[in-house]
Amino acid sequence: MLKIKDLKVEIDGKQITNGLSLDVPAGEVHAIMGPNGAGKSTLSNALTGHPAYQVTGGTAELNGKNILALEPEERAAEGLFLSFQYPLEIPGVPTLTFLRTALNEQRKYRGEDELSVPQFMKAAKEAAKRLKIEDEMLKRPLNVGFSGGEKKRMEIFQMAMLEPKFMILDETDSGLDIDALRIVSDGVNYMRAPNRGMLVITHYQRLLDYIKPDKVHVLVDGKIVDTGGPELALELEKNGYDKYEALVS
Amino acid sequence: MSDIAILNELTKTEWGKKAREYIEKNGLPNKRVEFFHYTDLARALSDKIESPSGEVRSANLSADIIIHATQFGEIVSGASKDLQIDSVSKISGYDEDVTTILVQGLSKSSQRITLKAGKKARIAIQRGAGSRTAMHIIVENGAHLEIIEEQGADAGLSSGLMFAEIGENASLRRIMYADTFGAKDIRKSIVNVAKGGEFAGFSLMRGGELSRIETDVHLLGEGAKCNFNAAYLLKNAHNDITTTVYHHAPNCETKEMVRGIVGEGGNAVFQGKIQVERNAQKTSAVMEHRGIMLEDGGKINAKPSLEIYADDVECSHANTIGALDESALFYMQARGISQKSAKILLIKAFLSQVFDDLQYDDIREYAISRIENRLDEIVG
Ligand SMILES: Nc1ncnc2c1ncn2[C@@H]1O[C@H](COP(=O)(O)OP(=O)(O)OP(=O)(O)O)[C@@H](O)[C@H]1O
Ligand SMILES: [Mg+2]
Repeated sequence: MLKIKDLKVEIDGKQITNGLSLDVPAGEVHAIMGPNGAGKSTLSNALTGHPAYQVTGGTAELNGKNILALEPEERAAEGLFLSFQYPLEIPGVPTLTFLRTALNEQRKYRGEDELSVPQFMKAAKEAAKRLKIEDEMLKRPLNVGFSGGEKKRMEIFQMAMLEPKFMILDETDSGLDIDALRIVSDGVNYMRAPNRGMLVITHYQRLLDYIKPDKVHVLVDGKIVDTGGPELALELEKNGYDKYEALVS
Repeated sequence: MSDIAILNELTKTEWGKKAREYIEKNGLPNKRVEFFHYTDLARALSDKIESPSGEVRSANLSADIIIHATQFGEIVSGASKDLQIDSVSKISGYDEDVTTILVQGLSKSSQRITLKAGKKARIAIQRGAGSRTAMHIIVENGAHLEIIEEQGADAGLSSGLMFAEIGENASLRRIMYADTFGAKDIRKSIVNVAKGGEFAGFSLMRGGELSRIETDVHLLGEGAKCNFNAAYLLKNAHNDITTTVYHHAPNCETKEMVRGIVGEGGNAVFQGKIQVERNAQKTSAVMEHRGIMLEDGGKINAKPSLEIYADDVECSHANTIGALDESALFYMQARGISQKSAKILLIKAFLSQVFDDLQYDDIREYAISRIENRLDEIVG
């Protein structure tokens, strides 16, 4: 499903990602853990096509398609979704207008019919109910004035509406209270499917109790330095990243 | 001086002659005159004036009086006992300056419109290419008048003088859509507001080879209000919004919001001045100008200023000129929205706020749809 080979990414001429390789097959959930500044968000942003992140080497394919050659909106329409570590506020643009535009532009790209307003509203109501999002929140301009946790929940709501094929969750758990963590995790698990893949970036093992990963990768200094099963997350929680930091420096 | 093309456009009337004498003696103001620094009238009006062409794109909103202003004069339909319209030779009652002398000199005759005390009415004015109007608007005490002006022109010079007197606790709401794409347009409005009265202006400027829109508002009586809003969307156009609000009395309020975007070849000018006279205590005034430059160029010159002679006032102004928020654009693209649609959504949201105070939805929606289809042409 998502195949990354020897990926190198620079920001402002500074190399952050140093030959990262990763393979997430369809139907699997992989977790990425790693110290602050290791390059986890850099990987997410580069895959999504942020213009400030320059890919200087390597490849990334989604279902056999080279996504690095596509515009960000084309990557989205191909099924890639990033739940941002820091979701943005879009003043003046109502949440549902924004989402309907996104959904219909994606559908147009894929040669599908536009969703009518009633169809869209029905889907929005269902997803909002599942994620315990108040109608009032949907009426506001996107994320404007939302708390950190509300913004994260809104990311998952968008994900539910856009039904992507591959999802990257960049620290979606940070900022969520205990109840919200459960609700959001349920929402994420609801989307697990044999034809979907997922990359979950987190600092805390606790999220992985809710969203059970097939594999856990350790990202240090811009590359994957270790891979294991769910038990690796428990071990990291206990011992930290010392042994890997020593290795790369 | 007789080589100035504008002289040929002045009417043979007494006020046309006055304008001719004035221009022959003083010339038209050029960019060395501070008030015209960003819009050099002398230069703009020296060249040959093209003959007028182009149509008004009208929403044909219903109105109590409809005025079709053409290059040959005005055609008026629908007056009543409460809302009277008369042809008069010339308007007077305000302080003359170079712009008033010029626009008065371009018009053949004037219309005087009176809305009787306590009444409510709407006037629609469709301003065609080459129209040269002069209007004296009287809104008697407690009356509420709305004027919707739609203007369309591709070539030629149009002009307009409006002298409005708003009575006690009366209001005038003026909505102006200007599509003067390849044409020139010089406008002057003088608005006097009596005690407890209100002037509210909403303008949408979508282009023009040269537009100079001057508005002077005099808040004359206690508790008078001015609510001035304008949005501009410019590509290969020069648009100048120059507004001066004078606070002559205590407890008056001014709220100004001007926002716009410029693309390739767009040149925006905003000169906003609020002058608070010595006895205008408890004045409350806020003025905001925000401009966005699209990546393919254009220019914005904004000069907001406050001149305050009273000591117990609350006045503020804000002025920003910048580009679209790149990270917001990326966020939207990451959700599958094309860059062009993302820009349009952001700009539409940004400009629509200029019309937030329009109570009636149909007018607001209409303004927003006009913003939208112009954006489609401007945003690359
Ligand atoms: N716009 C930028 N300009 C310069 N350096 C940047 C920029 N963005 C990120 N970096 C640097 O790149 C490195 C990797 O950052 P990144 O955000 O990918 O870390 P991360 O692994 O996601 O960390 P965290 O766990 O704190 O979210 C850091 O050293 C960071 O300072
Ligand atoms: Mg990060």
